[in-house]
Amino acid sequence: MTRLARFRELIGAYGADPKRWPTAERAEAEALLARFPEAADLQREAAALDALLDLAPTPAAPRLEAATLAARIATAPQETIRPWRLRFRDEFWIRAVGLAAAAIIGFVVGTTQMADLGEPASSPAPIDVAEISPW
Amino acid sequence: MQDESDDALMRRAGSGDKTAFALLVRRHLARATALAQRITGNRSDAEEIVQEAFLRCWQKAPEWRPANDRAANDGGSTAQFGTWLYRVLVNLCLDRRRRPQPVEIEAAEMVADHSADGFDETARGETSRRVQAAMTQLPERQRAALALCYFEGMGNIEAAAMLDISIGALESLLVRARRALRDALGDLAEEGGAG
Repeated sequence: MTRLARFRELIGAYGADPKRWPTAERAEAEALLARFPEAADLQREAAALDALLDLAPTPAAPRLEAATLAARIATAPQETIRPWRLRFRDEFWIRAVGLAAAAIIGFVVGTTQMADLGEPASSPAPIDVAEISPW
Repeated sequence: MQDESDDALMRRAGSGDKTAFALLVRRHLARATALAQRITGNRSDAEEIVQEAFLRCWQKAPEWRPANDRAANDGGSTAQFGTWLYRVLVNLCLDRRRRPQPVEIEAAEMVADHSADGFDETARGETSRRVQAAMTQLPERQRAALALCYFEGMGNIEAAAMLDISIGALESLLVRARRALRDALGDLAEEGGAG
């Protein structure tokens, strides 16, 4: 039954003609078709839609002639291949600049915060131990 | 050069070889335009998108490296370039900002195939227009899945890769697309569709 369910999916997707079915499943599907009348019914239904699809209009031929089109396109510049050394050099400098920027930002932020820690805005007055000593 | 694989041509294009690039365009222009038209439902948008896809192809050519060089040497490279190109194309189709034109205009831009047999031409033309209109109403991702798997005949693995989704998600898109079409065209299907 599972195989019949798969057959239904197959017919529903690819239509009635076995040539359009996935190669890996074709033999099994055709064997199923020979054994189950229900499978044959499904194929007949799909064939009716296929017959309609075959009546779909044929796309019109291209209006542009191939040689003209190719000649026109070939006036455009092609993308050039950059040697690996150049690519590596560019990538190296991008990374180097990124690292340097991160280091500078880290240094600035770090020194600013250190300065803040060194001079608190309102430090409490030191406690005179002699004042609170019971002795 | 005519017999060279797409990947080999792409490598040549990467060195500025315009003849190789022209050959690539010639190989893929019709299919790319058809796919883009199926997804966008609009010829002008499709042509614009195809030009953009080939422009990217030209611009990226110097950096082009097949995902698997050994596969390229074994002759498996065409699919690799194709997968890349059509993936770019599908993404451009799905990313486009403009909404589709009204259905009547879009349907008129497609050419109904009346050549096959003794169908009543008028009835077939009407059916064709209705099918196109129903497809235009689908969400773009569903339409893209249908265009890749049904109309382009791509395998599910390749189609899923182009849409950048799992196979399960692709099947879900396809199931919903076909269900919506069946609902929209139910009366025609009951009549026997094409007869």
